[in-house]
Amino acid sequence: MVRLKVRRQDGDRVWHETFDVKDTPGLSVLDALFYVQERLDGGLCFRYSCRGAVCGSCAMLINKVPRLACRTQVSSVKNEMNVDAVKWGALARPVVKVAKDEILIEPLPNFNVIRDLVVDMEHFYDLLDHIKPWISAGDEVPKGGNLMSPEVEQQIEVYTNCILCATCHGACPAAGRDEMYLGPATLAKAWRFYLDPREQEKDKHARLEAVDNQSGLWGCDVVFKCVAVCPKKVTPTQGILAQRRQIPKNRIKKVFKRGKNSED
Amino acid sequence: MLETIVFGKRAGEHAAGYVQETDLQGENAHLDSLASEEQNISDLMGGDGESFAVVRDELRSVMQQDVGVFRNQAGLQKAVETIRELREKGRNVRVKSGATLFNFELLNAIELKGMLELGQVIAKGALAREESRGAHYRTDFLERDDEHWLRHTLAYQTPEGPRLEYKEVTITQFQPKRREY
Repeated sequence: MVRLKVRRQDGDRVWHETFDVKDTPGLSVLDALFYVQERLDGGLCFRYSCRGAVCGSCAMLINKVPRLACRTQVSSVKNEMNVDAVKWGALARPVVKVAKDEILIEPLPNFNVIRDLVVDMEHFYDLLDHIKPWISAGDEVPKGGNLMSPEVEQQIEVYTNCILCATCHGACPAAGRDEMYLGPATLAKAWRFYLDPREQEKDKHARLEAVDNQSGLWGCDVVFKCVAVCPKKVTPTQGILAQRRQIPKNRIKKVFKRGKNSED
Repeated sequence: MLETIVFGKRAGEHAAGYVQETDLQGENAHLDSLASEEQNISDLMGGDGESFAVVRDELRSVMQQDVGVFRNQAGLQKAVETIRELREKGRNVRVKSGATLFNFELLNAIELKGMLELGQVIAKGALAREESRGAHYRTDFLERDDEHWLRHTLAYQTPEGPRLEYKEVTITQFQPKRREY
């Protein structure tokens, strides 16, 4: 038996409710929530879709760690060890153990709650739109096609694995402080498009300039929490740091270009 | 995945265009269907009744047991009868949660109605089709029978349950033949 302690919310009313669920082998936290929703309280609501860590809909705070309910096994979290956050620093999973055989389930932090475990994702998607997350090149394809080396493809793939589940956003201290901070998912996406050889130089620079500010690359605390919680092993912090390094390089390039132009 | 985006965009654009070009006659008729939908939903709400989960699990189990890839007359007949009973039971499904936002219990109850209809169509269609074809594998009719069954099954909703009709298949470039590997 496992006890789910769920943070409920309906309008301004917030309360915690516990549900006992039979713990069977292979039971995920999402399965346990289905059991509650189907047998104990039809009113409980949470988002889900694919049930297999593809869609990213079921991100929530499980024992104080943002994770996907579908890929979190009840057996692995019901007696999670308390990790000392001081000892492990930023990489610690700040697990607060409630009781034996109990799992604490709350909505994803840094988002407004619509009801129970369902949060409003609109702001997260708006942030993503800020960087124009698409290839700006037109329909014309260069002769011989757009070639991409396997090395670049591998570099990009790390970032294309993102499923926009927003666990990173829920774990991010900068996003918690500053609503305008673009956040790990968006900044990682910006790097993914920077790396893309189909993207024109001027568009690359424009996108980089757009995130060269406090709401963008410089808002990051570099504490790697996003990297620690990502269910798809995306590395937003590394992407943010790579873009920070790219900025002076691009400025130098720009200066040389200007010099050339004046010679003409 | 990309298909959903491409075709979603096309479908949305066409639907918007259609609405603009079409003279929506009898707008009252639409209001009537809206009212009847609202009635259907409010009929589901509140009171004591069956839980959607109980009926759905029973349907799931009969579909798994007797209407899977391998099927036969005895199993399918049993399934058609069971699903007919479940449809009756389904009429008494009631939604306990009165939530007006993200009421998944209501969503599940509505979906269950569709599953019961469709389950019956699948079982009845499979019972009638006395041959094996593709993923429809009748253990009591092992061979494919183009002479009688190279036909589409069409199911029509009637108060007594689905009525089956058949339509000839239009064959163009690829002639039907037995698949052998």
